[in-house]
Amino acid sequence: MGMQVGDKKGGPMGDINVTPLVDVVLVLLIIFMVVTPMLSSGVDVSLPKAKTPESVRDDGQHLVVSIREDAAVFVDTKRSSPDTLIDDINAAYREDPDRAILIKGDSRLKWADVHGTMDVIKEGGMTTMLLATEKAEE
Amino acid sequence: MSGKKRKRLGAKGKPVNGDINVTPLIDVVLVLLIIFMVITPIMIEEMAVNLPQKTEKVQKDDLPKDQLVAAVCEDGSFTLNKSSMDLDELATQVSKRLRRKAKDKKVVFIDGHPGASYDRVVSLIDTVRAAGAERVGIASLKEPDDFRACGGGPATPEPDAPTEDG
Repeated sequence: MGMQVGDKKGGPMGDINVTPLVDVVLVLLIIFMVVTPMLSSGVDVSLPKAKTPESVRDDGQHLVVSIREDAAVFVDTKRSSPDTLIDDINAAYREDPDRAILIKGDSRLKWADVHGTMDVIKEGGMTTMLLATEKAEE
Repeated sequence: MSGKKRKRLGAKGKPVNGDINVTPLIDVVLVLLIIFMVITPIMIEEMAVNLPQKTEKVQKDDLPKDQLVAAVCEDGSFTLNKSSMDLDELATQVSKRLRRKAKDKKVVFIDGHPGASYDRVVSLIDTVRAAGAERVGIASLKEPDDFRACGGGPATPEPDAPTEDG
C-alpha cells in the first residue's frame, strides 16, 4: 500500500500509515472467526437444492438434526448414534419444546439413511419436520 | 496518479505531509460492515413434510382412490401412481389432478426406494410442492423387495400406504 514519492537520493517518503488499517482488518478477522461458526445451525453438510423452500431466519428456533455424508447423525452440533438418537432428541426437545425439527441431510445420502432418522424422530411423537435445502438458482 | 508526481515542497523547503488519513475511511467501512452483518439475516431454506403417525397397514379402501403417490426409484427415475414419467410431466399431472381438490385435500405422498438418492427425493418433494401440493406426506420406508411403486413386483395394493394425520 505504501508508495514512495521521494527521489533516488533519499528524499521524503509519502507512505500511507497502514497501522490503523491493519488494526481494523485484524478486528474484522476476529469478528468473522467468532461469528462464522454461529452463522448456521447444526453441522455443515452439502444440502440438496430445491426451488420452493420457505426462507426463514436462522435464529436458533429449530432443533437441528444433521446427517452427514457418512450417515453420522448430529443433534444440534452434538454427535449422536442410532441408539442414543432418540434420547438426545428428547433431551434437546425438553429444553425448548417450541422448536420445530429441521433435518439437514447431505444430498449424497441414500433415502434410507434420511428416512431412518425421520422414523426415529417420529417415534418421539413428532410427525411434522422440516427438510433443510439450498435455494436452487432459477 | 498523484503519487507518481514528485512531492511538492513547502515554503521552507520541507516536504508537505502527503499521507492520506485512512482512519475515518476505515471507521466508516467498519460501521457499514457491522450494519450489513446485522441487517442481513442468515436464512435457512426449508420444506415441511409430514410423517404418518401410524405405521400399521391401511386397507386399500381407506385411502381415497385418487390419492397421489409419487415415488423415486432406485435408479433415480420418478413415478406417479406407478406410471413412470419425468419430473416435468409429473409436475403437470400432479397440478392437473390437484386442481379440483379442496385446499386441505391437496396432499401428495412421497415414496422412495431405500437406495434412492436423497437428492432425488428432495427434487421430487420440491416438484410436487411447486405443482400445488399443500402438504407432503412421507410414506413409510420399505424393504427393497417390498418396494412396488416402480413396478417390477406383482400388482398388489399399496403395501402400506401411509395414513393421513394432523
